[in-house]
Parts: sequence; C-alpha cells; structure tokens
Amino acid sequence: MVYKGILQKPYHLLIIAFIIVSFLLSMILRYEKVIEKDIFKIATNDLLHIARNYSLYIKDVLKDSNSYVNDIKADKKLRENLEKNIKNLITDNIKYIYLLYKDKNDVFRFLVDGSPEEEKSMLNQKFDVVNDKWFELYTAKQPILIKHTLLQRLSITYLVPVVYKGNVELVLVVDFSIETIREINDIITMIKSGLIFLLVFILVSLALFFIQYIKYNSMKKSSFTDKLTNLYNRNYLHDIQDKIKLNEYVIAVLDIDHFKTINDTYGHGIGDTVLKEFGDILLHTIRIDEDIAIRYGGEEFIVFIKRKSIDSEIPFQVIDRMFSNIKNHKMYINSEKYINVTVSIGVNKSPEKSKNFLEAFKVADSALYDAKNSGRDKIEID
Amino acid sequence: MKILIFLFTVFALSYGNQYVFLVNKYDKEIELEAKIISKIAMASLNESAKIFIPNISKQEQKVYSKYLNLAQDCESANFVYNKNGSIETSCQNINKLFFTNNYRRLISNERYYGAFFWNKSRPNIVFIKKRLKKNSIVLSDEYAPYIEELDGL
Repeated sequence: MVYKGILQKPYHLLIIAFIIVSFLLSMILRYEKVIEKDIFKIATNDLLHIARNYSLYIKDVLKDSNSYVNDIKADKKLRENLEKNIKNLITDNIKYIYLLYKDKNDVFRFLVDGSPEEEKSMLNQKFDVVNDKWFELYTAKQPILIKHTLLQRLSITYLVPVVYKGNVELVLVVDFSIETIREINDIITMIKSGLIFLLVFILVSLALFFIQYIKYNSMKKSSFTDKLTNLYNRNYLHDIQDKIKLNEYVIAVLDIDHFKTINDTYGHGIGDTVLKEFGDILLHTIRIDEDIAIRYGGEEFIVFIKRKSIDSEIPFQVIDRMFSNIKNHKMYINSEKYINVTVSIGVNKSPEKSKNFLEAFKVADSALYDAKNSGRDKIEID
Repeated sequence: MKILIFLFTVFALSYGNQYVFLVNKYDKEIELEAKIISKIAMASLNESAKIFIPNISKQEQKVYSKYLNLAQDCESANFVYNKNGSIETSCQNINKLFFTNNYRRLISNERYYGAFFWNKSRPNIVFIKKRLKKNSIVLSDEYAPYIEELDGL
C-alpha cells in the first residue's frame, strides 16, 4: 500500500490516547501530593514557627530552673503566666495548645493548658497517647508532626520538645483543627476537578477525533473502491499515480477478451457477474499487501505488481498466475451453463525507464494492444 | 449518549467521596465510646453487665444498644455510666458500679471508680486505684496504664 505511517492503523491512535491519559493521570496523582504538601507548608509554616519560638520563650522563662517540671508544678504564678501566654496562641487553626511532661512511668501529664475553662485539663492530669511518635520525640529531640487519620476533630499535632541539659523536659503540644486541612483539601479538590475536567476534555476530543478519523477512512476507502469488483477504482489511481515509485513495480494492463460479445449475448447482468468474478480472481491472485489492482474502466484493469529488485521474476509469476486463474475459471451464467473468459495482458516490465506513470502506462497499454492484435488470450511484455 | 454516560461516570467517581456527609460524623465517636464502656463494664463486673445511662439521647441509645445491654432504670442496672451530670436520688444502691465521662466529677465524687472522657479530642480512660479496691474490682494488666494513684500526684 502507498499510505504508510502512524495513523494508518486505528489502534496506533488508541495507544497514543492511552499514553496521553496514563501520563496525565500519573501527573495528577503526583502533583496532587506535591501541591498538598506545598499548600500545607504555606498554611502552617508561620504557626509552626510561632510554636517553636514559644518553646524558646518557655526555656527563657525557666532559665534559672534546675527542674522545669518541679518548678512549674510548685509555682502557681508561673503556671498562670505560662497559661496566659499560651492562650494567646489559640486561633481558628490552632484548636488546643498545652504543655506536658512525661513521668517516671512514661505517662504524659498536664502542666499548663491553654484551652478554655470547660475543656481545660488539671495539673498532673494523665493524658493518654497512642502514637509512638510521642515517645520518639524523647530520642529525636526535634519537633515532630503527627497527621491524624482516626481522630474526627483534629488534623495534625505538632510536638515541640523543650530540652534542658540534653534531655527533653517538657513537650509543647499544638493541635490543629480540621479546618486548615479542610480548606487545603477544598483547594486540592478544585485543582483536581480542573485537571480531571481537562483530562475528560482531552479524552472526549480524542474520541471525537478517532470517530472522525474512522469515518474519514471509511469514506476515503469507499470513494477509492469500485463497488462491483471491490478493486480500487480510477480515483485511487489518480490519487497515487504521482506518488507511486515506479522502480518498485511492474505494471500490467489487463483487458477481458470479447467482453462486448458477452454483454451482447448474455446481457449486462451476466457482464457484471463476469466483472465481479474477474475482480475476485485478481484479489485472490495478487499479494494483497504488496500489489495494487485497479479497475481502470469498463473491462480494463491495471495491476501494479511489487518487485524487490529490477531483475526479480516474481512479478511475472504473479502475472502468469492471474492469466491462468482467469482462463481456468468457470464463470457460470446459470446453474448449469458456464463460460470461460480469457484475458489479454500488456506488461511494462521496466516502468522506471518512463518519466512518469502516464508514460509507463502507455508502454503497458501498447503491449496490450499488441496482445489484442495478435489474437488475444496472451501476455505481451514490453 | 455514550459520551454523556462516560462524563457522568467520571463526575460521579470524582465526587463520590462527598457522600460521606450523609453519615453522622459523631456516630463513630459514640460507637467507640460504647465499645469501650461495654469492655470496661464486662471487665469490672463478675456478672453480665446491665448498664444504665441517665438521660441518654435517642442517637446514643441506638448506637449503645448494639454493644450493651441497656437498663431502662437505675434499679435494674448493675453498672451506671453517668454522662449527663445528674443521677436521681433513688439511684443510690450500693450494688452498682458508677462510671463517669468527666474527669473533674471523678476526682470530686468518690462514688465513681473511673471515667472515660474525650480530652483534646482524644479518648482517655482513668481508674482510681483506691476506689477499684473499695469496689473489689480486679482489672487485668491490660488496664494498668489507666490506673491512677491519686494520692501520689
């Protein structure tokens, strides 16, 4: 066939669509996490910074202390002072902020709680924690962020250690409400929806393009096919004649012998049947992926027979096969009676010597003329 | 039509998680609470637990009844879980265990031997050692982290 390329076979389009969709989906999934991380960082960075500064403030307040825990426990005024300051950090995003210590039994207990009165924990009140990160804080000695998946009203908890002489003495705990995360999730959902919409738009566009392409191909095929013989028609010849590489083909022009007599004797219906069967024989004889059979007009046909090299014998074997298959085929004009049709063939064995297809065709047509004039039912090679 | 169905499917899948709002978000907390109270009551009693919760709401009743044998009144119960502050005077029978959902109430009222409550949106459990002893309650080691010696604090 003359048309070669990525769009020749429809499944190539499906592969391209699949690659595009997979790529976009992976980008959405990948960037969703990146965007979430960035927005979260922007939304919480200041608050985390304030929490770290507050832990430094606590250290500063307790700079003369030898035991942070005991001094806070013993000094009510100090506790009230810390609580007053800690309360100022409560915002719409920070739900709770409090100061804990861990006793000798590894139980966390309250020292200072910035929560409103009705939610405030008592001094030394036990606080149950389930996440191991709370304990990791004592070895890491660095702030730790805990993301909650099971708690209904908290999104994250930020633990800031207050270190004294290399040991974590206190833990400043900041619980973030779900509002921050909810807002971040809303933004991400919006971005994700936009990307999904874009993806759907691309998919729909590809689907429409694919449908149009199939329709176009179907129409093109229809406009290039002779309905009676299923061979290519003259439109197709016009389409390819300037593009075809003449050095790759041998050109054969075929004419059904005495076709007018068949039409006159048996009628146009039988004439059409002969043409149809003739087309079937050609299609079954040529190499369908390499050779091109065209109904040139009436009972005249052109066959481009592919050759691998200029001296290849294969095209002539194909021509011989066409000639004998037509000759040996019984064309039934009714259930009992049949006729044998013969064909005259003119061959241009060296089309590459011609400047263009029309000249090459003339050589083959001239050979056909010679075959007709020398008694028909012949192959004439020029 | 196929394109419309496809678009609808994509839309529905994209927004599917929004249907979570149809579920009451507090049901999960009540469910967890009911499971914990049920476990504590069974661990504290030597017989099957029949629990009375004064002034229980319909929503709580619905969830609690999945995990607990609820008593209609204080007299027929052997475990009282006080969630809402007041307990009627008739509910003084000594053959009952009293549990609360408030830490301050636990500290201030010796009747209660323990509490389950939400502190900083986290579930917390406290038993007071002396009161466990007073009520002859022996809990398994599993409960050790939740037992407090109030005098030592």
